[in-house]
Amino acid sequence: MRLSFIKPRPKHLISWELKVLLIFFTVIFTLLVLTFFYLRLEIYVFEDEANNAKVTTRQLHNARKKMEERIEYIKIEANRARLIYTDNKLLCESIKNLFDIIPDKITLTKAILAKDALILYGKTPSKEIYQFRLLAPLRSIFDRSFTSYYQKKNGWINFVSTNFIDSHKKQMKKEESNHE
Amino acid sequence: MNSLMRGRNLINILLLSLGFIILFFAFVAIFLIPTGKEYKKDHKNYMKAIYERDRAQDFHDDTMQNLKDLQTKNRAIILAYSNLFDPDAFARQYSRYFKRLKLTSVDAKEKDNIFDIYEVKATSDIKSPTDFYDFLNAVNKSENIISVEFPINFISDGPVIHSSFRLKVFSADFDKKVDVVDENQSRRDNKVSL
Repeated sequence: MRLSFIKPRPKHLISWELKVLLIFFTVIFTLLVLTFFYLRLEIYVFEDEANNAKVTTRQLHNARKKMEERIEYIKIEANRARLIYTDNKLLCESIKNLFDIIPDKITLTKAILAKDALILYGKTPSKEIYQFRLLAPLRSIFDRSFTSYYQKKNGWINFVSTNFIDSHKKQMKKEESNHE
Repeated sequence: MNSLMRGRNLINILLLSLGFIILFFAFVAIFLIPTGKEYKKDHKNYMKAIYERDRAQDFHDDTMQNLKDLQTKNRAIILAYSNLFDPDAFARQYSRYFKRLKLTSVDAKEKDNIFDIYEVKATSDIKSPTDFYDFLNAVNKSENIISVEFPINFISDGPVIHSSFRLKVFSADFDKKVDVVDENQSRRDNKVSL
């Protein structure tokens, strides 16, 4: 038995307009949430990368510092080595010069080269030859020269010549030469 | 009835929209804006860190290149410092300059953090001073850094000249971190010029 003249229509809890709007809002909200999580992920990545970069920077800085120390060390060692080479050459020249100033008539029996001194033992036919031919050049080089003589039986004279360079004068001479 | 339904529907839509707008702004204000600010700050920090790292890398590379150049330039000296001194090999190598060459090790009195210093006493018979000059020149081409030290004694004994002097052999560890001391000046002062 029919109780109504109209055909029954299905009843919905929410209308289709409301559904569309709900879907639209849900999509928008989902996008917002996704944006939020994307930003959080990027922040995490940036922080991680920045920390890694800072660690690398520190390591590079330490490595560079060590290399700079090595550079400095090598420079000083190389300079020292060159100085040693130069000193050896100078020493060679000094000894050459020493033997060059010894006149033929004078015979050396012993020579001691010290830091600021030179001691020569030798024999000379006469004091004059020694004084003019050897002592004069020695005096031009050294600040103080002392000589002791003793006569030999064969007429020759043995001598001991002690010559000093005063360190402070040497330093002054060096400074003067540096200024020049 | 229908209009009542439509009116209720409209109210629902309005309420939903209002709710969404409130939720939207609340979410943006509470989460998105602070996160965005944090993102901006972290991005700036990240760029700064990357820039500093690249700069440090450039400095590091330049320094490394300098070190390599210096090592190449001073290769012989570095090798000479690193070589161990062998007195027997030295005596064999330089015996041609002397009639007799004897090396005696002396306790190293001077020791510091930079160098291990050995001293050797040499006594020799030489025919003429020329051999000694040649020896001094050859010492500079030695496998070690060797310095001839005062005092130097020459004693004439008939046809030969006895000589005695000291050699200082320098060594350095180039891989070791050291405190740097410049004693070049003091070394230069130790030499007498004739």
